[in-house]
Amino acid sequence: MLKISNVEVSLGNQKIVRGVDLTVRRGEVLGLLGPNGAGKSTLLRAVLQLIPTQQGNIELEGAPVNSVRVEQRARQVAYLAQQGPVNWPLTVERLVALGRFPHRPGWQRLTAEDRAVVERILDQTDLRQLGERTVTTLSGGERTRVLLARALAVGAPLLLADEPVAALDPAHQLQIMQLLRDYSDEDHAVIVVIHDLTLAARFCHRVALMHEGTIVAVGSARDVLTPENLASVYNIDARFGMGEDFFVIPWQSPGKQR
Amino acid sequence: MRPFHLVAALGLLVMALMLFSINLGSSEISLFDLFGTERSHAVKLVLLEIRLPRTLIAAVAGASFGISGAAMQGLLRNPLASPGLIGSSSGAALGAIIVLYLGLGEVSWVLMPSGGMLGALIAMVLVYVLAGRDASIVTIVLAGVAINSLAIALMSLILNLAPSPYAVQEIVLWTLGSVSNLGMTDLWVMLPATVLGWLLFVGTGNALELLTLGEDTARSMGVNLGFLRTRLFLAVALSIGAAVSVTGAIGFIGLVIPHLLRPLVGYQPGRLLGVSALGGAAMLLAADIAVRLMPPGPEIRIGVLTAIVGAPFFLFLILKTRRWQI
Amino acid sequence: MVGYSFLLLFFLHRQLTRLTGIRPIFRALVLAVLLPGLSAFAQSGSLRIASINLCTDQLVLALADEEQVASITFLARHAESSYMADRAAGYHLNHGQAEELVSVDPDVVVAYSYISPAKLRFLNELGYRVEIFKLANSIAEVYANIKRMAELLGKPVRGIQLVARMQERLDSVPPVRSGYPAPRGLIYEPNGYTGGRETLRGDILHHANWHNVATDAGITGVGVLGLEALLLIGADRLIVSPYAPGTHSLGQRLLQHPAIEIITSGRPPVNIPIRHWICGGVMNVEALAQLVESRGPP
Repeated sequence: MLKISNVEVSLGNQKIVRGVDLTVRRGEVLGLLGPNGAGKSTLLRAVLQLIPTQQGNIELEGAPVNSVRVEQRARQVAYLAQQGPVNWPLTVERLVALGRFPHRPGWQRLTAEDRAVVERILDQTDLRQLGERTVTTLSGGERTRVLLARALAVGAPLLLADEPVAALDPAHQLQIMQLLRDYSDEDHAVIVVIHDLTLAARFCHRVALMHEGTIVAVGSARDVLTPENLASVYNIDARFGMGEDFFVIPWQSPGKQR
Repeated sequence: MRPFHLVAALGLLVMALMLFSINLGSSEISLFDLFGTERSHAVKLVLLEIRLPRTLIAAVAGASFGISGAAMQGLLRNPLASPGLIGSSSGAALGAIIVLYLGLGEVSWVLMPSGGMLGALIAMVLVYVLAGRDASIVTIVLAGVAINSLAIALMSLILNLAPSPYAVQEIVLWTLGSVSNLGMTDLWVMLPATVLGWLLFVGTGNALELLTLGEDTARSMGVNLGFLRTRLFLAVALSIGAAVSVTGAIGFIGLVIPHLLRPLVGYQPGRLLGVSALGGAAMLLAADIAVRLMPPGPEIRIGVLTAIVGAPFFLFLILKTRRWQI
Repeated sequence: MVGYSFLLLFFLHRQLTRLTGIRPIFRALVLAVLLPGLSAFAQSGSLRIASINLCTDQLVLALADEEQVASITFLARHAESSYMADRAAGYHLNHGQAEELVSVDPDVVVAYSYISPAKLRFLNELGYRVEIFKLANSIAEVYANIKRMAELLGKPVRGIQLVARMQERLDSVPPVRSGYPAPRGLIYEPNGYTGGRETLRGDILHHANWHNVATDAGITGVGVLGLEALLLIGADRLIVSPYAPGTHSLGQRLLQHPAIEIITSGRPPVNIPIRHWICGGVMNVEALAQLVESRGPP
């Protein structure tokens, strides 16, 4: 569904993303991994056309992403920003309803159909009881869930999530990742930028490892998260769990003996 | 439905204030005298040529101040923004003063409100450029203070050097505002640009609401930020420019009204626009009524009254912001 | 006069030097004794007066001899506001500042009573004799001012003659036609200012046999008449005197309010040139004459 070919993105004079090729298929969750500054967020923002690309093509459903009108693109790609602000103390229900706005351009009001979608999403994300609460009074985990619900409400085929679980406790981390996983079905795909390697392994169908602007490896978690890759990209040693469940635990930086 | 109730209530309030305003004046004429036959010519004159324009202008200008405040607070995502803060009021006054006192107002009726609009637009653009794109409210306030000071200094200079001997004392009017001694021609002069400005405001509600989630997310949902900004700036310049060129700079309405009404619309920036227009009209009408109820003597400027209400409110806002770290 | 005295001195000096043996010091002594006496002779009846106010300018220019005028204000040369603008040519012009008078060294400085106290104090400190004239609020007070200025200048007869001529014009004002009411006039100025009882303009209106409508509103002195009161008071005609025509301000715009045109039923206002009554003086009869002429049928 999403095809990224040889894309280069520069911010100012610095080349952040160099020659990235990547495909994302419907029904999958692709985890985008890599150290800070590798260019993951920048790549996402390029897909959204929040920043321009210097070179290469990004095609969504066969059409170049910069040839599509902004209103239409808003319906095709949903974005869950990293630490997105909430500038006004809206109610949970209203905030989630904002996700339907791309379907009602201009000053159109939300329809009954939109309201039904919002209800469904609130149930799916277990936010029903919090519906009337103001977003600013929620805990971190609840707030992230609300913002994710908003992104889900768009109903876009592609969902881009930038570090959605960074500041959450384990229970909420699992909850959010599960929601993302559930979203990916025959019609939808998700790209999620994530730092927790085990979560990535657990919930993503495939992972892509980025380092200094390029994709170093892409494939299943087991294939990509090898000790060599982790050492060269993250500069860490890790402990692995094998067998049915695959987990990766960063253990120490080289040069430090324990 | 709650939204409808609020709009209806405010609408009724505005109507009531307008009726009261038409009934009130320095002479004993009341609205009912319109139906009597005694001195009907003078009565009609007083009601239609003095009180009616005053009332309508107060309502229209108040609405412009209100809706501009709501729009600016939505665009800047900050409850402390107001048309006065970003320089539009003093810029408009400067533009109008340049046209009026240099005699250009006689050339064409359209020049004075145009001067106001141009002045408002230039001042706002300067504040925006000075503060930078992602400026914090502190930076914006500082930029606004700078441009406001510059505009007022230039206003004083021009009034001082103006050929007319009456010019100098009129600076008070331009910085504090007044709706007295206005006629229907002043209303017609104000109306085209005002209506145009209001039309530009309509339809921005959804985009402003999406800005709740931050610029990136809003853009990802189809908001064209540059276009929105330009459109709102133009709308504010048109409506504030037209209003100030007729009434002078009246402050605090654009700050107080959106703030008071925001909780009543569930903090939704879109709904706040229309409701703030009604609230602004009500506030200015009420202030003008209060001015006319004052004991006779030198006229209390309407801007003084809005400041007496607005300044303590502003202080309260600052204290509240400090406590809750909004 | 001064010229003759110098000539006299010169001859005296020649005579003294012919008397050989008289030492130079004696010559100087003689001259020193004679000189003050001679200058007193030269200046008797020739008081030099400086005026630092437009209205005292008018009085001075109407009554003084040429050599008596030490200085007048620059406003005296403005044709719009100064009736005596033509007669004001050729004199030293001041801007009302005390320092400017030092070079002309007048004997008397004349001003009006609304001179700033600081300026008055400064003039006194500089040692000038200052004569303050009170603002005339009636024709009678104008006469008093004229006579006083005439006496100050040492020309009392001129003052009396001027007053007599003015009174003649006043006496010749025809009365209102019997059976008809006096026309109702209202003086109206930028920002709504009007003059009621005890103002010069009000008095001139009265002498022209107009009815000053402002007195109905109980206005004494200068007052403000709001638009509503203006509409209800019922004036037949407005009387205006544009000051600084061709300039623009909000106060001046008030006079174009549509309600004002309606109330006077389109009758144009009586436009009295400001120079005819901004000051009290001989020019007031011009304003009087114009008002009489405008009385016309309602």
